[in-house]
Amino acid sequence: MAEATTELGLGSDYRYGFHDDVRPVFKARRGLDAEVVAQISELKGEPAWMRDFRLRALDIFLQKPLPLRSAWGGDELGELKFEDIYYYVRPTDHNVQNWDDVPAAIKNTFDRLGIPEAERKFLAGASAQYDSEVVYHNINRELEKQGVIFLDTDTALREHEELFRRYFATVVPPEDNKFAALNSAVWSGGSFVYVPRGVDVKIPLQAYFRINSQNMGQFERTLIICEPGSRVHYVEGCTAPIYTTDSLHSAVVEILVLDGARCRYTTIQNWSTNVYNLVTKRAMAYDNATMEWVDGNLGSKVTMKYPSVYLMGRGAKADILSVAFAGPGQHQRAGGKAVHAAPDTTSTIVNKSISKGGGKTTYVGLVSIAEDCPRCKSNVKCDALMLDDRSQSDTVPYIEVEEDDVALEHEATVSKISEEQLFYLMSRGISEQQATMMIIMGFIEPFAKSLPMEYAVELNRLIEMEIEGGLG
Amino acid sequence: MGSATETFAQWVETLPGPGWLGDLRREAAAADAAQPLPRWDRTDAARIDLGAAGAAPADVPGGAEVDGALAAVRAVLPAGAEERGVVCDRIDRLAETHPDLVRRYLGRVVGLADGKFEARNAAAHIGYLLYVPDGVALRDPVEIVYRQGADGAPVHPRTVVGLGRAAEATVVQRQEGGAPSDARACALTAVVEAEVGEGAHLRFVDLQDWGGGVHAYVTRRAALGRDASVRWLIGELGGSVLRSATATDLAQPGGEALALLVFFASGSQHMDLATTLRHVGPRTNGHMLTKGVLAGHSRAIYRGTSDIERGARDSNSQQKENVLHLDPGVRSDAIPALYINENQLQAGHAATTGKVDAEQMFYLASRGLPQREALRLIVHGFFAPLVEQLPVASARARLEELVDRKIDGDAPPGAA
Repeated sequence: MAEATTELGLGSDYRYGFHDDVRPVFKARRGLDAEVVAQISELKGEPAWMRDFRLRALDIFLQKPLPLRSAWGGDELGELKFEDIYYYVRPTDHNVQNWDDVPAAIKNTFDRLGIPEAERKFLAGASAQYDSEVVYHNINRELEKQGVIFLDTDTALREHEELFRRYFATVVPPEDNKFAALNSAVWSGGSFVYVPRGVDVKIPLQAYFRINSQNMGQFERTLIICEPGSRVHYVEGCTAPIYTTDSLHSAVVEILVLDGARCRYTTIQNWSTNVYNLVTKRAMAYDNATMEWVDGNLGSKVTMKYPSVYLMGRGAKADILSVAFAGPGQHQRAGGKAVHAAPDTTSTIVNKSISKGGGKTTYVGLVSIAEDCPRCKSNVKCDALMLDDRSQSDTVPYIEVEEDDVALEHEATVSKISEEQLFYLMSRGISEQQATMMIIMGFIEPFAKSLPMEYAVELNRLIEMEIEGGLG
Repeated sequence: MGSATETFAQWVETLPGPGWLGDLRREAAAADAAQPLPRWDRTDAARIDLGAAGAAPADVPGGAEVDGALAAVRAVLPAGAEERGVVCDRIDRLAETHPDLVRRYLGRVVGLADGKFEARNAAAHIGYLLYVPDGVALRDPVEIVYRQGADGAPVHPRTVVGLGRAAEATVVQRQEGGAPSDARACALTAVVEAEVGEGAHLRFVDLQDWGGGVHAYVTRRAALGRDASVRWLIGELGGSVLRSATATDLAQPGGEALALLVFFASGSQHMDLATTLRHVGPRTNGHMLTKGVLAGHSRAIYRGTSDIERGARDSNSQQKENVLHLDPGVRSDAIPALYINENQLQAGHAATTGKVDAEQMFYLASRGLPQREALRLIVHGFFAPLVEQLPVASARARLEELVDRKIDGDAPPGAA
């Protein structure tokens, strides 16, 4: 492992580390209290029930202690200063559907992220989140004809209040955890997706998220409802500019996959390495429904993210596939939870972790099979790859079984890149860097191949950059 | 609490041993009293502590009379061992005859700092110290038996093992008896501490079959010297609420550990079991294999931990766990954790949970086997890979007998 101690290239040459000078139209003051929360609600022109919901969530947030130190995380959170964070920033006054109307500076950012091109080629509808408000939103006419709703969450609340209210906070209530409560109090933006009965959305729905204001917390809230027999693939990708002080990202994603429906949610998270990324992602899958989480974690300072599936109906399936890459100063806590609450349910969790340059990955997972849920099956496989001797990797799976008729398997390995593999490849004339890259790509192949093509390409490039930085 | 502590402290005063051992006991009792109950995930420590009732067997102030009818401890040394310098006797007696040996080994591997219940054991222990000098290999097993009295007065067993350089020994320990049901519950602590010298090899079998009213906390730990090895074979079968941890410290280069754990929980037993390997030295190897059966309404928690510190290069740490559920009312949790701070190593774990295979049962039934007999075959077959590694035939037979008794006593006829 020659030169493995060189710092990763995430400092000065971070590709997405540019910072545009956008003047937000409104910026709430730092810190959080009932006045700030009420102000956010008022600025958004929300109905009274949502304002009350936010205020109730704020009380819960203030009452709940930080999570205790445990495998699930907690010991890294002491540095978070909630009073220094801006909880709401809105860069433009209203949503723009037409690309020509998007302000030039913001457009510049998106150009550099390649959004217009991606849209031309692949997007069915793009909902790009810039700061806390969706500024650009476009939905494919075809989808509208099918009755599919794909809006930013604020607009959805205004335009589909009844539908919204029926499902909102039913999967992740504010009582769930401190950060879910925080999100419930100050949420802004995110996506709302509604797929009617039997509709198959053929093209992935995509949204990009960015943080672009110093000390800006971003609290998007996503709600996806898949009516019986429908199908949808939602893709969320994040990149963020680099700042000198810590930022907080605390999202909530709620998904209902009703009878026989199928939902895939893909994320590639690449926040800059000063962001605390504390996310609650949960889906409920009913009879014969399938929920798939595809979750890539490359960026952030600390991530704590355990995409969950509650298997509520007979024959439901959960598939959780995650990858974590931790470089210097990073701690990726990534994993998954499958809660089997119905008979004949199946879960598969595959996790691949790579740590490098003193980075730390922690897989924490839960498979729980409740009483009277016979014939459940669960398979968990975690593999960790450590690229040098300064890095760390922990694996802590929790398995809870209250049923006798189950088939459950769990497997984990930790290894380094084998010198034999490297030697073999290098003896074929491949450089050490290329060889390392090939081994890593092979290691995460099950993940990469489940991504939409352009994401797989981007993932490939990002990992290449990390390896270049390290092996220099 | 105050009066309970006082009673416990008074009781400790009655335990045998010379004055300096009494001082150690007193210090330990104070350390126990000074610490709050530990807080554990999934097992409430108060269920093991039982407050005053368990801490001080007020009914039997003569708790020291352990050789009496109520409770007994016994150790049998193979013939000819004493001539080769092997020492094995009650710790309190050795404290008079071989004070240097007791000072050298007692409390060295499991100490007061390890926790409240470790401190309690250091105060109240009755047990044996086995010392095997440099270069002496004991071929035949040393047998140690701790039998709890049925009246509910607990014995707090402690076995201390010191193996010199290149020494070898096999210990077969049995812990049994005690309150037969929760109606007369008793709480006890048990400790095994072993220092295995450079190039020495220890095999330690511990078959635990306490009565259904025993609430217990068990710590077993071996500290290995350079190129030393330990093979644990632990059978956890008895007790009401049990927390048991078996750990190996691989602090020196070339250490090797094999931890085999067999458990069978039935009725309403609660077992919280852990095996841990701590790799510090380079080229250390460890395997943890666990097989457990749950029946009735029992609950088991198994925690396997591979802790690999920086510098434990070229080490290997592996865990494997299989759990078999016989009844729908059981619950088992498995937490096989890997904490890795070094990259020149191999580590892994694998776990499975399943039920008795209906096809196997059908096959055996179709051969004319009664269901109970079929179940017995399947459970023995399930445990066999670990039981076969028991070094002593009599211990193998004993474990099989205990498993049979669990099947007969606890598994309902329609278990499959």
